[in-house]
Amino acid sequence: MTDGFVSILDGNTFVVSDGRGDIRPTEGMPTGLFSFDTRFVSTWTLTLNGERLSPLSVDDMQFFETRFFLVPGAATHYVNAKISVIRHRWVGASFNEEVTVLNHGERPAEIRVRLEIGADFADLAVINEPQQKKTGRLRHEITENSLRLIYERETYHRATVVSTTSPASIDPNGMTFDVVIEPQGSWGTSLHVESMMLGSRHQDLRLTIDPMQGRDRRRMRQELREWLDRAPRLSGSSDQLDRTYQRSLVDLAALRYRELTSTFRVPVAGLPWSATLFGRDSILTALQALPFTPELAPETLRFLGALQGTRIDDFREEEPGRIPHEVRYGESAAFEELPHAPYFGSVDATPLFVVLLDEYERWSGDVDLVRELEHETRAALTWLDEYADLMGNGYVWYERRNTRSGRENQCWKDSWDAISYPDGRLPSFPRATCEVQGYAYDAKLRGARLARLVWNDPALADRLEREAAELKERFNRDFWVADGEFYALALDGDGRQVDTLSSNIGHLLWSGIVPPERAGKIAEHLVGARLFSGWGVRTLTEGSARYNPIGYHVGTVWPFDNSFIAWGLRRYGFAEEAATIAESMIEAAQYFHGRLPSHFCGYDRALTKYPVRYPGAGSPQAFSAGAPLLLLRTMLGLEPHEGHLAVEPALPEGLGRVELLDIPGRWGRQDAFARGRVEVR
Amino acid sequence: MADPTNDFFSRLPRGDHPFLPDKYSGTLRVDLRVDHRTEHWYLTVLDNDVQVSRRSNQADAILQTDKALFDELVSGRRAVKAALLRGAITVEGDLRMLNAFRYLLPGTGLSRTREVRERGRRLAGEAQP
Repeated sequence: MTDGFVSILDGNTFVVSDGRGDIRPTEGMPTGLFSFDTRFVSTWTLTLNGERLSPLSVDDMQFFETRFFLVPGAATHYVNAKISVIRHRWVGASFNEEVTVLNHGERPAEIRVRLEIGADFADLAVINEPQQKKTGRLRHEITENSLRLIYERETYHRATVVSTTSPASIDPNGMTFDVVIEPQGSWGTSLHVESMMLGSRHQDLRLTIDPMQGRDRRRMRQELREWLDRAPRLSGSSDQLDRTYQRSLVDLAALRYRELTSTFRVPVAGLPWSATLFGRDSILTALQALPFTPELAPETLRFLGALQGTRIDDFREEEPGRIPHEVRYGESAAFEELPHAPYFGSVDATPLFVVLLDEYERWSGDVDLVRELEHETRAALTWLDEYADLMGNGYVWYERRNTRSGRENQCWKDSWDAISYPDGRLPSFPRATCEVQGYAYDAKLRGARLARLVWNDPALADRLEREAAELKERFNRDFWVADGEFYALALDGDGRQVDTLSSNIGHLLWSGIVPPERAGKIAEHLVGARLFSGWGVRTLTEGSARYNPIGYHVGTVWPFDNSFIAWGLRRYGFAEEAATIAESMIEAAQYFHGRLPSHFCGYDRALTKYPVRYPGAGSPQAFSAGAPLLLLRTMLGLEPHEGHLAVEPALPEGLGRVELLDIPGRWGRQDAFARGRVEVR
Repeated sequence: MADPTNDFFSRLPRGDHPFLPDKYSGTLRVDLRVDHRTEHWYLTVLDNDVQVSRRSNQADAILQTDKALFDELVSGRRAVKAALLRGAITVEGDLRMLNAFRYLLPGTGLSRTREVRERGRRLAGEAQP
């Protein structure tokens, strides 16, 4: 994480603290122990004889484990410290911390070790809204070796149980240990924190259904080792690429979580704000990672299939066949103050569901899954025509039905100001953004392939292909901005073009809805000076009224966006342009220790020399961890082709030599080799 | 007096429910607390056919809650998952049966599709010469 914060995680359970391991309420950053969107620990500060500690160093061990080396006092006078402290912590099914105090002096040391403990049970979804008052009741219970903090509202019970292995005097605000440490001696205690989501019969909601509860540190280490062993091995001359690749694999492992009511493990979207399931993010991540960690795809598809909409519900924006957008587990979702259990307000997850199933089958040959998900996939395809085509003119539109807490923009650029005309005005609703039409086109063609190949329904296949061809023709007529020679960002509620130049046009290449004669112009725009910052393609073009290099969806660079753009460029034969994006992304990753954040600022590379951090960007972020993987696929030109793996490298010169060994697929395992021959501008 | 639970269970065997994929088959026992008693219902799903009985021998999953909340669930006014998070219902056994139950629940809102399409058609009409 950024700015001196240290985080460890295991899926949707994570701990964010400051550099000395302390947790205190912090503006702008959700510090604490969180699990299933609830903050189970909001205060966790350690003092020695009333003095806070200063960090010497932090040892980042595994994604779920870290160690702090500390000394008492402020940074100015700790040089002669005779006492030091090690805090070793890890998070999984529970949060654990071993505190060790070392006496380096020649005399016995009398020390009062104090740990302040608090739990506010804040809901991550509304943590930035201080007007949100808790309506439930906080209470505590103290036993000889534990402090139990409890929050109750009707049948909603959450509890934090902190226990210690050493004698302590325990009060509602923490634990005190009065100890004497011999010269060259040490004292230690193990603290164990259980976060409990209690059902009506006082058993944990997760205990009945989650086999992950019993996982310990050893098992987590082993899981990680096996995960890394299953992935293809990368070697070659670029340390940068290697570092980024390893980081991506580890982060994808770290971000996986298991839902309350299913057994599938899928990555949460990202830390800290989106540490939960987002339909779109999980699908895009599984697509990016297919050649590397293919198991994410069936888990994601089954998981989302089980959550698919079955009925009409305005509050949740649910419709039959619609794939969910976001699932939250906090108090606001539980009491239906927010619609997140689950919320369906996105229009791209549903066509992308079909795209992922087909792409997965092309890699794996797993027709059983295509059969298993036939109903869900047909329902998704039907949704495109029956519910998403609000205007009845063959496009996928959105206009929220939940006007209180629903998303105004239901495409990936879902902030309120993301879709605008070049002069900055916001268009009327409903809106149809261009990239979603590409996804729908692709979904119909891929659905047709599955219908013919597996479902034995050639009539459906014919109809879908016909509809796709009509959509392509219609789209190229209605969205093409003739004087600018690009595709409009969207159509507004009157069917007029929102003729703003944006990164969205890159996704159209990936979906294949662009006729070859127009692709060259699109490629030119994407790597042209107005969109390309030198580090990546900006979300919105420079020169547009709302362009802002530090604007969330209106000028920043999103690595995942770039990875799909590069894939699209390669599809249309623009190997050099794809390599340009890939190389700049790998370079950018080095400024983030190989871990690309959700997005970074869109300043020109010539101006800042390095990719400028966006305050509060997600990191690790699943589809940013997936981006280097898809870029690697793109540069190596990996495509499943009639039962074997085709390799057609177009590697930037700067990356030298690359070997990717044991790429899994229907062919078993296969290797790919490449030498950097593409000159990048 | 209206009894949404009773209405729900009598509607299902008539086939008045959305299509259920055949992966959803089995029996869900529903225990409903009302006053100081517990009502039992058995919902058996097989090949998109739903049977309801008050007496049976076995169940693949058990759902327990208050009848008042169940009335709201089967009216489409409250959501199953939220109720689970509140600890207001408990489920044990084969969780696919919970999803089968979700498939059977009615909607609440109205699709905007038709309304917005009307608007679209009017616009298209106006645009024509």
